[in-house]
Amino acid sequence: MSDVEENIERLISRSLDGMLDDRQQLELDRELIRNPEARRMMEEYRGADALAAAALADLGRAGVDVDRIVAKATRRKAEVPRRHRSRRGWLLVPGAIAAAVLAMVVPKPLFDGGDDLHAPTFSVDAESSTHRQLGRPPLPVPMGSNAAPMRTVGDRSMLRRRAGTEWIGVVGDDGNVYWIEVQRTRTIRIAGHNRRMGGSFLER
Amino acid sequence: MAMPAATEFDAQRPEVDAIRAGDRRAFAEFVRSHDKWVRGVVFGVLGSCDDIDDVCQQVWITFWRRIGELRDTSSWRSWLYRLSRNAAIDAGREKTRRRTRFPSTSIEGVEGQVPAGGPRDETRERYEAVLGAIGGLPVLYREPFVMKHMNGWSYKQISEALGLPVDTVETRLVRARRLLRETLKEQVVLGDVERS
Repeated sequence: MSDVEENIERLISRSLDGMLDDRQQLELDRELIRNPEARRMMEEYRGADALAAAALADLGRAGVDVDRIVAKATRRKAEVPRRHRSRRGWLLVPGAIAAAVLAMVVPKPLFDGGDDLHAPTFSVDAESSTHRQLGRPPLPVPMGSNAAPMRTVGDRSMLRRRAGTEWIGVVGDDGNVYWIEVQRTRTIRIAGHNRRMGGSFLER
Repeated sequence: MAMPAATEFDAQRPEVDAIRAGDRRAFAEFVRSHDKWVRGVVFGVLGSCDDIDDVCQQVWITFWRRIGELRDTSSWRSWLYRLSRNAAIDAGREKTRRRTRFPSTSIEGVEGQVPAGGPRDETRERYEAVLGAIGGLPVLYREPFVMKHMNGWSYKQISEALGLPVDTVETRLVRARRLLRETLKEQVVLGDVERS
């Protein structure tokens, strides 16, 4: 396409868009009068434009079902909180699985003495005044005591719990109750290593 | 990407505020008023009518759900434009994925370009051919062309919407017209019109 043709084409395009200024309009008119090719181009462009406008207008007319959209949109908006809850609900499933896997894989630290988690897992033989932990090394003497042997208080649980912390109460021969604070942190959770090695976090 | 100056569209601002406040009637009216140009934006990106209803529906649902995020209500038009364009781009990607997955399924073409409810017989066929030809334009030419012809936007409005200089918009419109004219001539659609 020659430069002249390109220029005419640009003028025609601007003309169809109603963007011609006076000088350009004059230039286009002059071309259309003296150049039959320009006239033919103008007709073709005008025809194509009219067809495109009609087809696109029809596409726009097809429109959407407004009532349906409004109903759908507003219903979805109302459902948002429920959907959020639902998503959280689904998170519980992998969470529960992860917890179960952790419970199986990570060795239990200290309180692994049976079904009753509220009871201390070690026992103290009050008669012999020796500490015995079933199959485990002797219970260490709590800090601050005078190295007196300890015993539990009858059958009563001396275990208190709070989130992340437990206190184990033992009674020394001097009659005082010694509370041992146990921080249930992740470090302690992997203290199963100590158990296997015969130690105890109580030694810390 | 900016859109036509906000002041041009401030007449709609109370309507947008009402929608933000949850007025369903205002929302319905708003959809009726602006669905046409939203369809234009979507078609400009997709180049096909296949999914246009679904995409437009998604645009309006997103509009309603996220209108609260629009801080400056005077910029609603550029915001809606972006929603429409992004939804169309996503739909186009999805379409490409489908085509890759099911290559034997023809989902593009002139057939079925005019959605249900459009004109019938010869006129319908002609519109299908024209929309097919427009849809076949490269997207960089198609978008401004559709904005101009379907939405009636000025060069300046298109340039602001697309983030392009006005001269570039004009050049793209000229090229879009040239390609369309050639395609329609090949399909004899243009000759039909001239004869009729």
